[in-house]
Amino acid sequence: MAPPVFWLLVFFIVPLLIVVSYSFSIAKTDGGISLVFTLKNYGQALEGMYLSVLFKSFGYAIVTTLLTFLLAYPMAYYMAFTTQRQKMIIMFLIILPFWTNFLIRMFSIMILLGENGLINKAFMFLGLTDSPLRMINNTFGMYVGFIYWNLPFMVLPIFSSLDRIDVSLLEASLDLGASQRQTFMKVTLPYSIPGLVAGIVFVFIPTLGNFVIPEFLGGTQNTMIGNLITAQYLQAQNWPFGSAISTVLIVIVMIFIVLYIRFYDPTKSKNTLNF
Amino acid sequence: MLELKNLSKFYGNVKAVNQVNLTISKGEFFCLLGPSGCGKTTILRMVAGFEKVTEGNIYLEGKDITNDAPNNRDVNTVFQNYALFPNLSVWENIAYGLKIRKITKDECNRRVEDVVRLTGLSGFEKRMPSKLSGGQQQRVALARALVNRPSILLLDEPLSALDKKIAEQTRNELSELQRKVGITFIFVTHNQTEALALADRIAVMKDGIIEHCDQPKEIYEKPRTHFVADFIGSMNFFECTIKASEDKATLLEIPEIGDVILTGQNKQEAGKTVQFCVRPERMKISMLQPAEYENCIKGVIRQKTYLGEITKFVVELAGNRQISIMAQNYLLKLSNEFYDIGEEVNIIWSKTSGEIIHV
Amino acid sequence: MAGNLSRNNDLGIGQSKWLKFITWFGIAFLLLPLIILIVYSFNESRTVTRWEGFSFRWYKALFSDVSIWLAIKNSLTIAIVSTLVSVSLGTMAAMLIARYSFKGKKLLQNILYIPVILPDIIFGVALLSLFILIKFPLGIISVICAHVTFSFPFATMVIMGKVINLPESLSEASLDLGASRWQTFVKVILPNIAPGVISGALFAFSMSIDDFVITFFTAGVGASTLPLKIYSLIKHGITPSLNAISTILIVFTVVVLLMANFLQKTKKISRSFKIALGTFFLIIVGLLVVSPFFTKSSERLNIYNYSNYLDPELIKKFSNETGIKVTLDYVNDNDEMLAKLQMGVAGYDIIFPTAFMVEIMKKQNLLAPICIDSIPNYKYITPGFRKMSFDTTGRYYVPYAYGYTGMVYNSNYIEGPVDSWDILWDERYKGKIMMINEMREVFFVASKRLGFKMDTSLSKLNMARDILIEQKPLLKKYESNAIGDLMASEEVWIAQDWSGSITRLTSSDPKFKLGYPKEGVLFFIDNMCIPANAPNKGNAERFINFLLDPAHSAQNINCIMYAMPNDSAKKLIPAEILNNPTVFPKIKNFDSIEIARDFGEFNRELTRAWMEVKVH
Repeated sequence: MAPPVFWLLVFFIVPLLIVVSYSFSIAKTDGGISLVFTLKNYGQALEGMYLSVLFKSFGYAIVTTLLTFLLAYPMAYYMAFTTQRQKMIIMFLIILPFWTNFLIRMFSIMILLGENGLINKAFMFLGLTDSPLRMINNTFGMYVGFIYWNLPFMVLPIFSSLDRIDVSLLEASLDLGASQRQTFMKVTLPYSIPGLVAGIVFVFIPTLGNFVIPEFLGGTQNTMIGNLITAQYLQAQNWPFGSAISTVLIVIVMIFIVLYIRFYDPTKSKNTLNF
Repeated sequence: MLELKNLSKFYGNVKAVNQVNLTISKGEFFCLLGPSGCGKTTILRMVAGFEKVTEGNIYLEGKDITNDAPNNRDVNTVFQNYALFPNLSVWENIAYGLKIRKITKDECNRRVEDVVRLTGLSGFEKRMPSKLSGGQQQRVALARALVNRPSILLLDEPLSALDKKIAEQTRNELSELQRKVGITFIFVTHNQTEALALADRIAVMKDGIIEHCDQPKEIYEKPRTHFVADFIGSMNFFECTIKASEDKATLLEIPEIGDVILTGQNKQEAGKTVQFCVRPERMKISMLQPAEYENCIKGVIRQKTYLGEITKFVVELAGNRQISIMAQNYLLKLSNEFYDIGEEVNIIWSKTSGEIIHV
Repeated sequence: MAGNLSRNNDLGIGQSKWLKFITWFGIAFLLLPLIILIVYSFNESRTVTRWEGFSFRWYKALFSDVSIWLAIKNSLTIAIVSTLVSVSLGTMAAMLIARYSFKGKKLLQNILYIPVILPDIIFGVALLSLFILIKFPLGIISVICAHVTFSFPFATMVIMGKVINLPESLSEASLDLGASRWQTFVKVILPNIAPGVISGALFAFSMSIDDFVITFFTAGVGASTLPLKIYSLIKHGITPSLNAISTILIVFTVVVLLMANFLQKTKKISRSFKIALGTFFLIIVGLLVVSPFFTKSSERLNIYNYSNYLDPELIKKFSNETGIKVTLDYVNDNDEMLAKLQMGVAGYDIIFPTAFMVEIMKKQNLLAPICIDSIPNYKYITPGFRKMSFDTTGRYYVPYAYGYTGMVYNSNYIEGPVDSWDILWDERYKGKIMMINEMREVFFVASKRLGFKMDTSLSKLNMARDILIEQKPLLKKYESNAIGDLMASEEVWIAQDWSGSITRLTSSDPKFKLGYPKEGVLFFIDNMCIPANAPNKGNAERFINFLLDPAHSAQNINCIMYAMPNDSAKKLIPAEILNNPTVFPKIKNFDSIEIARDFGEFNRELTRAWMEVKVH
């Protein structure tokens, strides 16, 4: 019964340790690494410009999570209370793009939002704008890409927690004099929190680490941590610095995972919130 | 006072509730009884406002509330699964409705305390619902509804999830509680014992229609339909024809078995085919000849089951018909032991027992 | 209860009009791009966004593209093998956690959570570091190991759900009836957790087949998967065939989903049909897994080149003549090429580094000496190009093509003549300007604009950096590959561009014009080199020889529009191309022109400055 443990050790724990140890080393000119202990890489990672990339990535991830939530929650809410048949149809339609390759989906967004894309053509046909609007290669395009990519990951967990709500609780609340709005705030919303938390984790962390969407849909100013790491590894050949940035990202994600498990233990939640 | 006028609920072609008319007076303990799917819960949910009414109207204290939202109706519900908010403590659950209504803190505290005392929940206020037993949860549900002082309290099978013993105990407390608070209770159940024990009046329902609505004793003693007779308690039925009838006595002919007499009934139309029914506990097995005030038919004992307080016999009559007879053991311990399977016996009952049901 | 209400939601919870509107808006948002892809895959036009009639030409192009089929085969092989391994490991881990108590169990459980949430990129760099450190060759096996690592924790969780719900008494009963532990597992436990195992397998399969990021870091040459191929097609602007691939994938997905739904609903399927289906599937799996071992034997050649930098017809011709299977991977820039070689990625046979990069690679012993004797056509090379300053031995390179970096602009929007790099800082063209995504090109322009010669002075470098940062808000993006497409679609009006690419544009439409800056341009000489670890060195030399044939060189020049130092070929080129100074710049002395140089240690500073521009 040891193979899974062995596998995790060799292909997961050890590689992470290598990255962490590289982060304290120095890059040689030929791309090699000399293993000495230095904090130089961290000093560099936390200095003005690179720190601002870190903050920017955080900002993008937070805004993306928020925007995705704003679109996803109403969808999940509608879906949870509609007819069984419609539920199945909507589920199918939401999962459909999910099954299409991620890069293809990003590519399709590029086409859709491009200056000769359908949206711009439609806007110009309707006379909403004279010249094509710039919707990709800027922050807007990046957000559209992120939301598009993340939407199913936010809708589905929220839906599944809303769908599990015992409807008699909502009836009880209405029965006790609460209006629909009050019932939503006091009963529905609190019970969808486990799904919401899962959705936030599933959106926030992958967004933080993504480098393809800023590259394809973002503009010159939308560099994120992922782009920085990729560039350090594959172009600048400065693995120690890339490792330092990666380690910072790992630490941030670990903090999130610990908080997630602490506040919402996936194994317990079902018992405490739904009997 | 609650009035239902031609109340109907259709799901597509299914008529869950069909043209129900009912008046429930203030302070009454009213019971809707019937098998599952008979429409009793649907009526309750329409009164609570959870289901839209297809046709007809609901009047509360003379005011039409048919289309009011549930939160604007002066009724509260105790749910079958209690529907306690699992993230709120007992106290918070009970205070939920009061807080929504923005009742002052002092008033709120006072009312919650009152109702906590009334339902015997003192000491549990801080607990979370998941840490309570079924019986305690049921009381919280009750307290949460009562604290709002509704004109009507709707109870949807509140005892069905409890153990038999606790259900019985809670039943007694419920009855006492209703007398104390004086609120109209509408109680939905499929359990006839609960209905008979608790209700001032019972409406027996089947397929969306009220078959019989009356006091428990009347329902049991004088069931108006075959369904009611059969659903409540057990009953032996005989197909028969009215041979002759006068004001206080009717002569019935049961084919292959013989004639029986029923007294105390109004005059019946002669020649009509009817059902004659007698409760098993009203019949006895005997070797003796009947007295003058008794009916007697012949049968052979086919089964005999000792059930503690009673012994149940299954007796076969002419034409392969079987009826059951229940004999109290404390009265007839010896004689019950005396009769054995395969024996031919007389089945005897008083001429005042039994009921005629028109088909 | 939820079921009751959803059948009859009389309270109208969550069914208001605006909720309904948002829901369908969201769904339209999710589906619209896919619909557009499908529609445009039948477009006759080369540009994605203009409709020019119905056509199957991109499907034809797709079906004849060997590299895509190779990528699909790789993807399937990797997905199937990694799924099998993941599910086995996942089942073991689930049994281990659910059935045994041991020290560190909680720790194991928590560690299993981490890969589920950790960003892909961390996986990518960590596994890359491991493979490079232990000198594990990057290829299909390394990708499989990587995929197993991220998918088996998922499989574990899915399977665990089933294992936990399985009463212990079942296995106790089996053991009691005399079965061994293994028999118990096979006969009792496995059939009961099968649904979990199957959904775990589906999870692992779909994650593997869809993964881009981790594969991107861990795949070597010849292990290109479909997502990697798609990435490269998007990056290099080869878009209509992408639409066709997408459409096929979408249709495939929909059919599979609908079929699964159908199979679930109709339970009465004959047993023989199921067996036939299963056997069919198994045969395909078997063939896929086995096939790589058979194809190994055939002769191969792996080229690592820029897009649009080699006439594809020549590759076809070479393949037909020699029977050698040629694969072509696209490179983005010199630094990426260097990074790949430094990491020890083995598999490329010919690379096309620029002069300064030849020098760097030679210094780091990354290049193999070329056997000139086996390249008879070497004699056609103009003598002045044979032993240039970046490799005076002349043994490590064969010159390929040369040109310079200037500008191309759309004269409908920009009034010419354009004769200064200053225009790339012109506020009027904000958002319509594009720069090449390569640091030496970009810093050269900045230095020239400031009036410097690019050298190893830190203060000059920082000044150049500052004006580049100042320029960033004006840029559409940094882009090396799809310059032509973006100019053609008029999303960009003026771009820094290489001379060949400029010529292709100006000859396609007169509205495109060359902008030749008076401050000076950066020349380049690109060369064919053979990496030290090339697996097919002989084939590489054969291909170099093939390209140097004057007829082939001429054909190549006509296609890519860059000059080649091949005097015999010049005779076969139409005069208007030969006399076009953009294609054949008038250069007297090649050692005196300004070309990108190796700055040695200063490269690090240049890289730092470039990163600072990029992240600003």
